[in-house]
Amino acid sequence: MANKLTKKDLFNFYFRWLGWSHQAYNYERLEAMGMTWALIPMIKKLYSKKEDQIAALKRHMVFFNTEPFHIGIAIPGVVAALEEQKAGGAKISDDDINSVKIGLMGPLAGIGDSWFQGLMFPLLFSLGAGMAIEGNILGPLVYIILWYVQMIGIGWNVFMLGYNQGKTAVANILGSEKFKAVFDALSILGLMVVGALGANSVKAALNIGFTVGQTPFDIQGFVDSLLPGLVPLALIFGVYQMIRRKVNPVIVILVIFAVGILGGYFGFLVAG
Amino acid sequence: MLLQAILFALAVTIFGNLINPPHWISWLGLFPLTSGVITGAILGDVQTGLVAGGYIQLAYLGWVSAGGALPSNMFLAGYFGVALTILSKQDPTLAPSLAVPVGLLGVFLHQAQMTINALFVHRGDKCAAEGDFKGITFLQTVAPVLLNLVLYGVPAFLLVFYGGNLADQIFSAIPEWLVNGLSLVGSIMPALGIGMLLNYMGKKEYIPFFFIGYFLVVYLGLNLMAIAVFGAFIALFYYYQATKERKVANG
Repeated sequence: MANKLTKKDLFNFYFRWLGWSHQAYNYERLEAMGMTWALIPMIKKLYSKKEDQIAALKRHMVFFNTEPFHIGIAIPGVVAALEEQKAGGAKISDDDINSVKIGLMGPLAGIGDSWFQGLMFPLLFSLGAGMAIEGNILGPLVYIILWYVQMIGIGWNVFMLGYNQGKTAVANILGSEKFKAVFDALSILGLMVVGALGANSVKAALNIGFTVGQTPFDIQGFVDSLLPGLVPLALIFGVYQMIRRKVNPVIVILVIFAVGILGGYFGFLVAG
Repeated sequence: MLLQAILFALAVTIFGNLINPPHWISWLGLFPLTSGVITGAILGDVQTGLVAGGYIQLAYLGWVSAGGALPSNMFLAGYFGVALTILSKQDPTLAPSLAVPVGLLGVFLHQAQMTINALFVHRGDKCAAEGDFKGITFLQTVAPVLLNLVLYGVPAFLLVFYGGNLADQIFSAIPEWLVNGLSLVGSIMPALGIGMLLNYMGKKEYIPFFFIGYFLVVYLGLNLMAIAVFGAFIALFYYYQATKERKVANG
């Protein structure tokens, strides 16, 4: 009778995977050794023969790369279920396990990256950094707390979903309309906060004045009466347009340095 | 300075790069938002560290990495940028101008790390073939940290140990208009992070919500939390609408 995985075994695997998936991250095989190392206690428990253990180690020392925290973490869940079945005598080959991993890793990484880099980063870093630049220590704390709550809350459930229900269920749920609606709704929240942050953090005003006859004329005053906040907004959209046209970020950085230093030297631009 | 340099080197070894810290703790110190506080605590000026880290974070708001490609080493940039700001006693608004160049150079360290780590995986193949669990554990959890001590820890130590005087000399040598210009660069730099973010999040039909957030601040002076509250309810409204419409559409 083969060993069954307990909740404790599963948690141990989850703990090792989430913590150490990237520590030996490299160009050649990315998360391969992270996966293998995370599996060690499970391999020892499921396979009693040394040659089976070695085969299990070898089958996971292959190219693997996905989003490790929230969504891609379903794959370790699926892997745990497959290894358990294989150890129990099911006819599952190395190729079967590998093709499940390869098949899921790209799509799930796409969703996971959009989740944490496209939604959570903008939201949490905007709030946190917006407070930090005002000298409020709550900024970093708010980010830390919210980050860990959502990472652990989502990640553990998606991991268990992968283990309990397998790859088809994972694909169905993540492709559902409801899931997409959550994403879009959070995009709206994120963009509002980012907009607010833009107004709070990009500080620049024109410093150009001239006199017509006897009347002094101040361009920034004119802009303010027309649409306050126009100059920072123009700077943001200038950068946005450059990025959208795939200008190399290094060039964009150089342009910003040039604008700032020239603006400071000639005095036509001041920190608002 | 010796103790501070050692602590700073350890902090940078653990947290100053994307791939080394175990993810259970990485979020405490990886990004400039928190690395500023850590650096500030080590160098004895938490408040400057907090604000400087916040400004650097803004410059990197929309920078993402996927599959190991890193356009700029913002993790190293956070630590070095804040340390340089504090050591040279400059205003925190200057921090992005100091950090961003470090971020560009830091990409080479990241590439070195990702390349050398592959050697550990080749050793790992041998361990796997022999069923050597302890060997894999060493190669996975210890060897990359030792590598990092050399790649990241040594430069970090040198920065704090020798950097203070050097930074003072440089800043007293450069003219005031340039310092002002660099400070202005710091005030514009958040546009970089925000512009990249808009491009990354960028569904065109949602961009109006960016303007709503922007002008709520400009006209009404609301703070970020207030806008997050309004945004959350608008998002909830959208979610109900979207799921209702889809239910109707599905019969």
